Amino acid sequence: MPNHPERSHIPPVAVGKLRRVCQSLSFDEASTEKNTIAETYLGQDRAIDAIRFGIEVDSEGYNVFVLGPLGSHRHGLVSELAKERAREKGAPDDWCYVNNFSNAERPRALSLPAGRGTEFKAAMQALIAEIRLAIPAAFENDDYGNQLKALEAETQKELDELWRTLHEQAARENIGVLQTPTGYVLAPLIDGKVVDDKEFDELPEEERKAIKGSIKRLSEELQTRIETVPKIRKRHRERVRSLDREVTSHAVSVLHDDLKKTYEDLPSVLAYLEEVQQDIIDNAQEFRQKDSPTLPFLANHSSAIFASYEVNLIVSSESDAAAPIVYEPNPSYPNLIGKVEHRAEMGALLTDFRLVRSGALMQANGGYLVLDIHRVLGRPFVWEALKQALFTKQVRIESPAETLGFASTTMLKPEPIPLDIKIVLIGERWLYYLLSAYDREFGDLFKVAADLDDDIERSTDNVDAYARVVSERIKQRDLLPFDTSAIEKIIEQRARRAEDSERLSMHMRSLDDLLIQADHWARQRESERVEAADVNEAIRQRNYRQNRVQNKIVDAIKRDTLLIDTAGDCVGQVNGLSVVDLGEARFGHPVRITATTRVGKGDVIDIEREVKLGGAIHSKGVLILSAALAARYAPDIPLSLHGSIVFEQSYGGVEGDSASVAELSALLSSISGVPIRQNFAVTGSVNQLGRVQAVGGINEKIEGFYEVCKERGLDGSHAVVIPEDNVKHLMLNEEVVDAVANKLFTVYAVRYADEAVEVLTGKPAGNRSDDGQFPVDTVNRLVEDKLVQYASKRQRFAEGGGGDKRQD
Amino acid sequence: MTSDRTDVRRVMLALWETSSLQDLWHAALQHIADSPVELVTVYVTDDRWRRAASLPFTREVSRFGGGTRDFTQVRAEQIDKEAVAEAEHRLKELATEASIEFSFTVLGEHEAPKIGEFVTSESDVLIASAVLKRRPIYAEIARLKCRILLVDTPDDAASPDDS
Repeated sequence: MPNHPERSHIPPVAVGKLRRVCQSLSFDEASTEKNTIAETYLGQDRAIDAIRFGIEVDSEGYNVFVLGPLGSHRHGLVSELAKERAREKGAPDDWCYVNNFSNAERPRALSLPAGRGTEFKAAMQALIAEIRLAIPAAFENDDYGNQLKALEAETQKELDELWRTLHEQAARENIGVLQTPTGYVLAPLIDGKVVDDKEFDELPEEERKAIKGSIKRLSEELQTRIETVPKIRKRHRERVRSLDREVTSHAVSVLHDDLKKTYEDLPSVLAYLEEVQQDIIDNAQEFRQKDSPTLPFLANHSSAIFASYEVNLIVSSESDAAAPIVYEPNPSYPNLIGKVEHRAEMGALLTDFRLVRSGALMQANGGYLVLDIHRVLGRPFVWEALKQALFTKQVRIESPAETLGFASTTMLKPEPIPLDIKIVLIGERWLYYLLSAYDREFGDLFKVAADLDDDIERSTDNVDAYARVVSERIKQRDLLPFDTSAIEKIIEQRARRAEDSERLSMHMRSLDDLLIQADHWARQRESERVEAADVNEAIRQRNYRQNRVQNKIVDAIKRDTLLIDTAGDCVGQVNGLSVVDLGEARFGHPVRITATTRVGKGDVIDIEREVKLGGAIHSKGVLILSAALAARYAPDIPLSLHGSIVFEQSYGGVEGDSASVAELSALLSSISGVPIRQNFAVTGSVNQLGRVQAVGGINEKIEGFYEVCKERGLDGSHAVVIPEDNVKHLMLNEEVVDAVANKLFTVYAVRYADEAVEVLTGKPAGNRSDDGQFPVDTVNRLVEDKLVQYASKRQRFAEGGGGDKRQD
Repeated sequence: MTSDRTDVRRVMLALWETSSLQDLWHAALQHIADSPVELVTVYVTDDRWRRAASLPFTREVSRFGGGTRDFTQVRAEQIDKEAVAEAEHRLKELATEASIEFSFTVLGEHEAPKIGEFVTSESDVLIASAVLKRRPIYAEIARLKCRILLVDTPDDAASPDDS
């Protein structure tokens, strides 16, 4: 490790750098001019361009994935951009399902130009109502009655003739035709009287033979005629049916022709109307029946026939409407794809084309469908169904059981409907990356990624523009007017939210929350304006609502349950700083880190990692500092040290490398025997060359240590050491800033580990001089001397000269 | 109808198997509507069945499809019994409906002359189907003292299809 530029004195961070205040805002508070989309969604130009691009390109796969954190008002942005295009695009076709007369299990889908679906549905209802009147009227007509009577008379005549000739023939041969309840008996007659066996026996043989012959022949003839009767009856029925069809056809065609003319420009509708006409003619009998009372839960056959001519309009819009923009908050399978409902009838579940229901895909067909990807992925079968619909460019309304082939019952299979849709998925970045990595089809279907920035640069122009955004949101939510000081406080809080004094957070939901809460506190004090104090009160109250856990920790420290020293010196012990993230509640607190050392084989044990409480990044940090140690001290001899580092009283996991400066300091203190100031806390990561690097949660960490010191009593001795690269991130709360201004608390910024060691021990770290040695009475010299001692002890031990036979 | 209504003591319905009971009943009602009378019904069985059944070669041809079977004495008696039972049942229905009491007697065709024993007074009325005129027994009935009312009913020799 090279020498670092030495500073004779590490100065505290200036008060002015602890919080970058906002002042001299130059925006017109009274302006009523509406912000453009780019102004409203400040700093999101890249994402806006991407969404516009995705929405405008009408090619396969150009669906959009909007990446951004929750609360960044992704939906609002997508909705506004989609509206721009939807107006140009115009309304899509109306769609309806109608009965398929050749196969009722496959309802037919019909499309009509926008606005005509509703018309068509009403026209069909009117047509059926008219036909229900027209058909009975046609059959009550005298002409029909006369024609029917004529047919009946003709048939009766045919039947009469059949029997008359038989009777005549029988009479000629003196045979009587006797009628029994179930048939006929042929018997010989003499003088009109039936002959009995005695009389018959008295007849001459020849006559008897002739009678028997006649009866046999006439029986056969009778049989033949009996067989003819059903045929005559059947022929009669056919003639009546033909007459009925003729009458119905005439009555129906008169009404149908007008409708056909209306839809002559739509061949599919015209074909359907032809089928309806044919079906009505085939079922004319149902139209002739009067409505008869029936049990309320029983659907009679006639009503089922009439229902088969209904129109199930599943998508409709006004002809001058814009393309639909649909957001489906609950994209379950049926809500997205659609479903076929059933009705219970006498214990059975029945369905037909009227119970086909459209889903969001159909509702948004011809326009835009906005979905939250985490909801899509969280609901069974939805992601696969969505992809399938996009690949096949059609919506097939069927149940998941059917899709997966698990359904064995007969199901309705509505005709698929062509899909022309733009899907906009909204989700967090990790979901986008996950899908990109693991779903090969994802890239083909979602070719446009719109990545929303989390924050924007805090330039003068941006601050003013941000103030306009804030002002517009205040007006949109009908809040009390905010004065300039309040908006300045809001701007400062947005920088704090961004964890960077030079950036502003674009997390709009938290902005809205702050505005609403500040408005509330202003109203509480019956003010007509929201002032800076109200914003501060909103922040204070929010912290108060959320700081139960933090208070518990501070209390435990105060009562020495959690051991944290804030005064005195100690070898091998340092106050590190840790951040606890509990959703909206986020706070820092000090944590004791200790190190112990002895002769060893050059390994530094991270106890957290050994017991699997340390995360990978933390372990990496410990390994880096071990490497830094080995490189920096006594490079020509083996590192003969055994060290161990631990976060004391830490029973949860430890993650991150932000304690590596603290861990290195504790280790060097343990080796050198130089004590560390316990009224200091330190945070920062370190690289192999000893450079201190920026860490996250810097404001919470400083404020966390401040809270503990405040409880113990601030006396000006307490300080926090932070990486110099973190100074730009400082947006400390005003209480800490005031304490620093009043010299009750100090913040030091360091660039190198040596600087941190100097501040923490109050002893120079020391750079190697030209002779390769660290100066006497510096921390580094003491460390190196101790490591040389360890090495020689180890060598002696290896040569058998050591007093202690135990091995490390 | 061929006769006007006057006061009567006894009204007799003479029924043959093929007579239209409904028409005869209506005719009888006209004569018993306002005055207390005794209603007597006599059912004369048709011996044509038994005579035809006595022949060994007679067969019954089914009206439903034309199938045949032997026409035996048993079958003839069965037809008779069914016809009598049906007539009595129908009469009971009609009498209940009209709240009228009646007596029911069955006579064989050869006993038909006994009809005269039921209607002895001139004030009695015998109601029968006009078809009776074509039967040999009509000559005997025509000699009775009572008034005879013959009602036009469908021809008992209607075609086999009129059922």
